[in-house]
Amino acid sequence: MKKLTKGLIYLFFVVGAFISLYPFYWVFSLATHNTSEIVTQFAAVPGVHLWDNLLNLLKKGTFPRGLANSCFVSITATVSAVFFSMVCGYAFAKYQFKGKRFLFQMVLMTMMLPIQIGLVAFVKIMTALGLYNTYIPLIAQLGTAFGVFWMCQYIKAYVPDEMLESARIEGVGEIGLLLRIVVPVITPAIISYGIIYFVGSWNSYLMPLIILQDTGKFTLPMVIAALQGRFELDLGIRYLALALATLPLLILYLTFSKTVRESIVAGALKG
Amino acid sequence: MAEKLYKKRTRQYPAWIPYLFIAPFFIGFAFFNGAPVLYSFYISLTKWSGFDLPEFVGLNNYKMLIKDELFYTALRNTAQIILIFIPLMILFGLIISYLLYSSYVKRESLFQNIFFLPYITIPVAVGAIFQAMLNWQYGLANKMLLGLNLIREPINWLNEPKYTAWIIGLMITWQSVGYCVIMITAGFRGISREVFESARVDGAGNARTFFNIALPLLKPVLVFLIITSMIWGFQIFDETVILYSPKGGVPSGGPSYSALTLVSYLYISAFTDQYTGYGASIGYALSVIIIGCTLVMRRILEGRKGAEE
Repeated sequence: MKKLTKGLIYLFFVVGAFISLYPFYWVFSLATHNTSEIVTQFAAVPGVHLWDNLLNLLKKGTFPRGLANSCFVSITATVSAVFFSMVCGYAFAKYQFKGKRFLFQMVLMTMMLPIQIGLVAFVKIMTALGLYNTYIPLIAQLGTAFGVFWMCQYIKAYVPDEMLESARIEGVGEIGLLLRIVVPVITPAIISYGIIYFVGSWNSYLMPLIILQDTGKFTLPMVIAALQGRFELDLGIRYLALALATLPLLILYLTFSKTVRESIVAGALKG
Repeated sequence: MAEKLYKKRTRQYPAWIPYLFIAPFFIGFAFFNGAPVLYSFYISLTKWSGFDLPEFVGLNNYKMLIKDELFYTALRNTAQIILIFIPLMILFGLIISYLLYSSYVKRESLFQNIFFLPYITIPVAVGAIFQAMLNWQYGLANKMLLGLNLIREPINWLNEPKYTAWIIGLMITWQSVGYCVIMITAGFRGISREVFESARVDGAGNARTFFNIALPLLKPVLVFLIITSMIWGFQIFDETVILYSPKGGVPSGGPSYSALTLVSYLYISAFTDQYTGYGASIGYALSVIIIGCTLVMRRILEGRKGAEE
């Protein structure tokens, strides 16, 4: 009886793992077949057309372009969001100033607002400022409410006041204090928040969709979306693009899986 | 009070420094969030095709909205998806993490990683993967069912309104079970093993240990998961749009609008049809629904916990 239960539990996990993984495997397998094979065969094992599909995909040029655009947008936005969230969170954690409590309450309140509430006006404002169809609305991230909160809590918990006081006595300036004393201590928080923000930015579709218009400026999710349309008749190209698009984050995750998992848990529980 | 005096006495920095540090965030917030939120409300009170000048019409858009069949369709579709995926995701998340935690299954982190992969995949790609699997001509689903002789004719999964809610609900479940697993596992880690040991010594069976001991202790994590998933579910867009998109990622609503979610309706109204004012009012209605449901769910889930204690 015990053995039977154990067997059933293992079966459950194997089936679960299969359901999680097989769609990926199947899409990767499709990426190595040509259109007629995809339509007629099961594609249970990889085919021989990977190279042809790759050349055809690269010839179209949209995929490498999208990948480069996404890298630029996500990295710039992440660096900017992390830096400004940290600076603001640091001020809330370690300085006294008038209106601090009220302003911090405001930060917390804004975390509740869904982005859709201002979406329509966002596009109108960006258009009026000539920023429609540019990357500026996507990358000019001066910090997020969650980031400010996160950095503030971490700095409060891990940076002792005495450390800052004694550095000040030694004549370290306020900005030097942040960059030379605080940053080394809070590196784990910076990495965690950076990962959470990067994944969000890399995955985001709605924002670039409403802001960007030129195909040449499309980010990776937009390129995948465009390739899934009816007009893309070469199925090999379509699924190779899809397979390749899932790769960067999978690799990032499998390399730093523990850090990523812990960041997400910590981010969720503290936020 | 003493603390305040101490801080005042030892302040060694110019008073404007903290304001300089918080300025970028608040300027960015005012510019990218505050202004759009306020301006959107004004737009929602106008009739505006997006090209000519907005014409002030008071609450007209909201009056239209409460009579708009399509808005209710979108609301019902979204609610159906939420009601399908949240229970399934929590159920599987609980079972998997409980079995992993009680070491019935070895290689905890391997399985966690496997279940987590769909969650770390670009949502647009998730939609595209499911579109491939459900393609009537060459999709995995039909090929398997035909191969096993369970169906005679290929089913056009993505063209049948009756399947839509389940297809989307199951897709989101597939995507987010791994997230629940790591969250609930973290919750289990917070419970000391002694609690389980002593329950077992007292002769409580597995089921009783799970329901009477693990479940109440996991309540905070579960409440968190339910509420945040609900908020996220109301905002669902990317996956459904790609899954039911005939022309490369532009929202269409699917067969008989069965895949029309609230955000895709917002998108179609405001950006495809250029009913700017109406789109803005959908954005406001959606936000009110989200905030309202969050408060109600908090009341229900956390209130009951309060009563138990």
